Amino acid sequence: MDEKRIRALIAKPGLDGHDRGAKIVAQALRDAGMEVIYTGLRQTPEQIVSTALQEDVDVIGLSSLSGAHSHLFPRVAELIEEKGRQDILIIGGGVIPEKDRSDLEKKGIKQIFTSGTSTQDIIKFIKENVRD
Amino acid sequence: MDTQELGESIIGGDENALARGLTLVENRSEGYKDLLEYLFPRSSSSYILGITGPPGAGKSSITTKLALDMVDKGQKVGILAIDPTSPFSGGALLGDRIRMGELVGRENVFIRSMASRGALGGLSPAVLDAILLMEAYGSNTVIIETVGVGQSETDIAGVADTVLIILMPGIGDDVQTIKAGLLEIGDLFVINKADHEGAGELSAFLEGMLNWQEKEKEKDWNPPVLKTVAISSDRMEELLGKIEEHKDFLQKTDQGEKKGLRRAGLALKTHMKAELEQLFLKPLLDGEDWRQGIIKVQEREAFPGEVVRSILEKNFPNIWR
Amino acid sequence: MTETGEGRKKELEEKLSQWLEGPFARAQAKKWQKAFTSYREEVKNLYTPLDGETDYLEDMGFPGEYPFTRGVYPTMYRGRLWTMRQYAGFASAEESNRRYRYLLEQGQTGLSIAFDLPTQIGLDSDHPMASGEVGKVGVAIDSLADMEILFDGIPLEEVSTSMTINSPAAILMAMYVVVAEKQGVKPEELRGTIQNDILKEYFARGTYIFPPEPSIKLITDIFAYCSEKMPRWNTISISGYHIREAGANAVQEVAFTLADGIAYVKAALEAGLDVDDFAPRLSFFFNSQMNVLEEVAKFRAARRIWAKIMAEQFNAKNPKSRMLRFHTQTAGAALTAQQPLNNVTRVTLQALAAVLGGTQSLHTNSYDEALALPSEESVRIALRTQQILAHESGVGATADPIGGSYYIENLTDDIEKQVFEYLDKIENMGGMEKAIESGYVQKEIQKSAYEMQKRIEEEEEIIIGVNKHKLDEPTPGDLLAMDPQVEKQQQEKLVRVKEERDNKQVKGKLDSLHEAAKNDENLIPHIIDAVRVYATLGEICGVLREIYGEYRAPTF
Repeated sequence: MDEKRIRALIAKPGLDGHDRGAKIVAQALRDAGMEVIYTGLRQTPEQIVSTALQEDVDVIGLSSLSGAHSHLFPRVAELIEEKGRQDILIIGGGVIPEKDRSDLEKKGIKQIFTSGTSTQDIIKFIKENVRD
Repeated sequence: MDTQELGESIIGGDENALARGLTLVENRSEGYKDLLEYLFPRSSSSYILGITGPPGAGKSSITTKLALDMVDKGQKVGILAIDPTSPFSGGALLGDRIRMGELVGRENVFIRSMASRGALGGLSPAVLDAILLMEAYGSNTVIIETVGVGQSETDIAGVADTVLIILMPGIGDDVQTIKAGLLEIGDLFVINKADHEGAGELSAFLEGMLNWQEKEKEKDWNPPVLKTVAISSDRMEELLGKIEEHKDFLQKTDQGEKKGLRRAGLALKTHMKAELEQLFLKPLLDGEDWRQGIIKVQEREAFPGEVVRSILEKNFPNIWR
Repeated sequence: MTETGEGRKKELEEKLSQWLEGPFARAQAKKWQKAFTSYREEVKNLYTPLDGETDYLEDMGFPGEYPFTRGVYPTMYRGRLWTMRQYAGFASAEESNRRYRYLLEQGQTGLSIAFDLPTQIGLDSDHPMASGEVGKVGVAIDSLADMEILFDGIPLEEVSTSMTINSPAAILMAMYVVVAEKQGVKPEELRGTIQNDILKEYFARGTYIFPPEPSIKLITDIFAYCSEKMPRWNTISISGYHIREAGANAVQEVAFTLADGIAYVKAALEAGLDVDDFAPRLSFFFNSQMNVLEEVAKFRAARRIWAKIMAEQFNAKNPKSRMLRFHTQTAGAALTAQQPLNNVTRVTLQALAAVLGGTQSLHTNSYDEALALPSEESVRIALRTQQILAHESGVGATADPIGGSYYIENLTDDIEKQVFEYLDKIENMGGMEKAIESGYVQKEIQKSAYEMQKRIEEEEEIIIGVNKHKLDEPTPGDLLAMDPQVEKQQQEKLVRVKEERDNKQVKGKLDSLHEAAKNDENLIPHIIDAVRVYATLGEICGVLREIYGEYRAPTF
């Protein structure tokens, strides 16, 4: 009787207006059978976390191409932790220099996907890493 | 967390608990029935506003403005934004939040995006359960937003106290495509983006149809048609006024009670169907007779009705007497 | 066609079908692959004079003459090379100023300014939403004080300045005018361009503030003001670049860009301007992608379509009003993070297409941009790529050098036809604003983008280093990062400005801007007055937000 589906939140933190990647990923996750909530542009970390909690998502995908990732991504992870919801998987994507990656991964972003990543790899990663 | 604890937290107004409870009922996961049974006697009915219309007509913007106003007036509002599940992948793209930015993070507003899942075009049984959870959480008003294509538009009438239909002229919504069903269920109509070509035509058509319907049915409520270019605050005031009028109408006439009865009936039927499916249908569909029956039908050895009758006869002797 | 012409045509038809059924069919049966344009039209193996009948004088004409298919100037690059204009942004006004002065000392005459996102969205650096974004993708400008630093010691009568700014374009232009005024330079002497193209922001770039209607009103205010006061200023750069980056194909890029252009022309006419007063100052901005020949045809088609629209639909008489002059940037989204040096080759091909297509100016991307902000070395290589094309390759010697190719002419016609189909459809929806509002444009682009992604993942479309000839590579080091101190410094500067200015005066000017906006007056003089007394960008946009409201994107 259990009809569990993976619920994903695709979010654009900050002011960056490039949403081609975010929308492609959202569509790919939908086509992989997930229920995908897309926030649209210009979300604060607080708004993203509030949405994630109300929607009870299994995974949050953050996208930024403006260089603000080092500031915005960890803030999302921090707020999620404050709410005691470390069970939610957080991943990120965009133009993210290699040297920032390990730092983001230390701060709770489980995986960073940059340009050229196959959406199939993202799907696989989510399926293998979301909570049961 | 056990069911009772979860229920208590929901009643206590814990947002996180409500979110998890909604997931539980949506997934039909273990314990969801216990949760519903726990909550039912401990919650009271809310006012349910259904909003439907074709994609792009501006439903989410109007939902947002209405919710903001209700919250300002001290209400607690729950919003269920329902989008169709893809029949191919089973996934769904839930994008209504894009236009609800002003509501995100606001106190006393809880938004939940839901995919229609199994319910082909219509409202899934989980929607009724989700409403109950929102009521237990303390919402005075629950807004249900659905895309008005397929069956959801008529299903929503079985659930909502007031049905608000939002239309726009032009793109993807020619006069011809407005189904009669949509007109029948609407208590209020908004023609949005009335500066677009074809707005005059649309409203003339709509009013013509409504007048005709009114004569046919002699309803006491005459559904108003509001035209707006953008959602200005003046027009919102007017819309809110009309919603209040409809609420009053429901209270003063027997229509409110009728709607309540219909909703209760729908809830009962939904649960009955679910139980029957679980108790009777599922074992049958999993059985060997069923599998062989399929082959027989495929090879034209037996007519489907015949196979069904024999399976029922075997499992429930004397069922036809 | 003459009698003998007819005879020769028949002969060609016969010989062609013999060849197709004979040698070609036999070879095709062994091994052959289909090929497509970006807009999914199948490309034939061979084009001949039978593919579309070009009327030379009507369809191609001469460079510098209607319909401008072969270029907008008679001498093209022999008379004057394209302008090599590299777009660059540096975190603070001080740092940018140093860089601009250096570039000018090296003989560069054009500046191109990138602004950070808070500036582009009309927020001051101390706004909560600006947190983490200040000085990130360009320079942060809060008030005239920053603009004074940005252009300190730069003679504005001598340079031409291009500013990538859209929703708050009027405010940045006003600041430029006041800085010039303080240098003793009159507005009519100023040369430069503001992007000022709001429509594409709603569906492709995302830095919108107000809803379409008041935003377009601001644009026509600029047209009106500049046609009178700043005749050498390019009032708009109608941009397809970002539309293509968002995932559109070549036809969509041209169609949606020109549809935006049509919307602006209509708005200006409605505002009472004469077409030949403002149209010569309109300029365009396109993307150059990997498919070299298709891109060349795209640029040619765009010129011809615009010329026809301006002449036939808007009755423009001045040849300059019918000329599509454009800037090109190589495709950012085509850069790969994998094996980044391969991007040098990609950029070279894209730049070649732009030059063969007759661009007026060009920005070449740096090879490391998919990884981080470009380093000094990569920026230099990008510029050298243009210089090699200009001075070594010989492609600039002849105007429209591949025009006349059967394939190119066929592609040009084909793109033109399909663009007009889109334009008709949009017209039927009630124009571009309506098409955007309904989400139609977004959906079309989204569909192309997603299908392309799927083709890449299914390896129908090959990207070297990404889905073919992959390498395990070491992670690149030495990438440029922005100084995190900038945000704090910028906020401190803003506090100082607010302390030092005459706040009563600021309030007075903002109030009169408020009144003017309510009464639908031309806002440019009021904005100039406000920036002169150091009203901030955020304050001015705040006034306008109050009256115009804010735009929200449709769902997708």
